[in-house]
Amino acid sequence: MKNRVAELRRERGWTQRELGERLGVSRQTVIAIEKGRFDPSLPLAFRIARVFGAAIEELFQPDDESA
Amino acid sequence: MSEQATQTERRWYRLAAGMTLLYVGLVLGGTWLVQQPAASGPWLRGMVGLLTPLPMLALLWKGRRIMLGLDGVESSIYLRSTSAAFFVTAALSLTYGLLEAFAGLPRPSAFLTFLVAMGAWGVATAWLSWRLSS
Repeated sequence: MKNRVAELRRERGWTQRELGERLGVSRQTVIAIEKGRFDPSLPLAFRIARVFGAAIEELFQPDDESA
Repeated sequence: MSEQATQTERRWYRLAAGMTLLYVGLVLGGTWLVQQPAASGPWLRGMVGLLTPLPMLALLWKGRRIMLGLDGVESSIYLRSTSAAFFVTAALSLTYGLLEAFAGLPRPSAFLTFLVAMGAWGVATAWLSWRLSS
């Protein structure tokens, strides 16, 4: 699953730790999501979308789907 | 980590300390009990063997619930490393058991199984932590 979490986080000037605190997860989880090595649960994906003020489909995209 | 996670950690450490103390007490008490000449018997040894691990089982069960309740990569690491440790321990135990039965290898200490399981769990956790978030 590709995602724009790292891009949006950098736009807001947040560290991975700060984003983790906003989401209620560890920095390790944020790193894993940003690198595409861990797909968040649906509730966590909704929290991420809410934090960035975006829709889930704007943030996450399946690997086989081009933009 | 969030404040809720910190509180969960504190509760976990309190529970771990309490259950470990209880476990040590049961091991010492059970050892003393089965060594009493008047109270020896297979039923007593069986009872001690079955009841002594209960605090550790309760602690591991609680730890499992906490890890699976985490909404993050830790839950995934925990699940994968636990299953890896289980299968490594099962494969090694089966292989060694067959070699013990057919090739006459010496019977190992029960601690060896514990060490293999914990070692496999530790290695799998470290590797997965590195693999998923480095």
